[in-house]
Amino acid sequence: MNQSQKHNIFKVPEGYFDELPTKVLKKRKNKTRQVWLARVAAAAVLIIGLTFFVGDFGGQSPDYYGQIEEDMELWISAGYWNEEEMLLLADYPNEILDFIIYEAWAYDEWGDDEMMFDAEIW
Amino acid sequence: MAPNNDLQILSLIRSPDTRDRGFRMLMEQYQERVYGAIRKMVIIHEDADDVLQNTFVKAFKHIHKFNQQSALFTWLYRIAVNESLNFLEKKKKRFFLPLEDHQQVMAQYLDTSPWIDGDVIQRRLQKAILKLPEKQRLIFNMRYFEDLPYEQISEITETSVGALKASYHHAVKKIEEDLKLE
Repeated sequence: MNQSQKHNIFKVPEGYFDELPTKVLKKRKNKTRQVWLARVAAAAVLIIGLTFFVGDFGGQSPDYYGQIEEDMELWISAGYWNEEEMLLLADYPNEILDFIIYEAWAYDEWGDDEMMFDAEIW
Repeated sequence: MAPNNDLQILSLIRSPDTRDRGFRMLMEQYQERVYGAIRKMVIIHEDADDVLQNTFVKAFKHIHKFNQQSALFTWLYRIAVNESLNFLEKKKKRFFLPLEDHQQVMAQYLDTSPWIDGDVIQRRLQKAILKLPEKQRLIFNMRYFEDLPYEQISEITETSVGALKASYHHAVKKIEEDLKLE
């Protein structure tokens, strides 16, 4: 083996490295948005469930409120309502949003549930 | 210890107002070196692009866990190494027909892709390297092409310097024998 074999033979398309940071930052933001929407959905379900619980339907059984939460989750997963629409049904949507944005932009943006490495090989 | 430039990048990332600028600076600083390491492992540009993007997305996600005991490059390299090896493992599991394994796809790419510009000898060397087990290939690339000191390779792979030296020595022997045969 000699020095000439050390030459880098791997080429990249022109401008590849110029565009890459923008592409990766966009990908990162999309991931953040996905998590953000999931949190909106969870918060909306919780708040609406509580509203039903302490509001007009105060006399109903706990099973009834559990059923409402399940129904709301089904509506979201079936695409009948989206997370934003559910949020609009809440009594204090701005407070929920403020809380979610604060959480989403904290350092641990996507939580610690996902491992850094799929399988630590070394 | 983290170099001064790393400290500047980390300080930008720490503040929400300058975080994107910090991430951009981190990429501009290290993307070509990290890409080079990944590309030598996965060979195909499109695959290297995927693995590189995932490496940086993971790095951004976990940057708050970086403890500054090593250089940012070493830390990034470690993520890139794991991403590359995991990627190759997944590829292996997708191929069921022995004639069409991923190693052959990579070897063929070396001969046919417009994103390879080496001469016959350089391509032959790459094909000989491809025949090594993946971890040995990785150690060979780090030492031979990137001139990384054994101590840094040891930090990245969490393997003893002695074991790395032995692995590199075996890799060189195997490659030389392979080149002699052709």
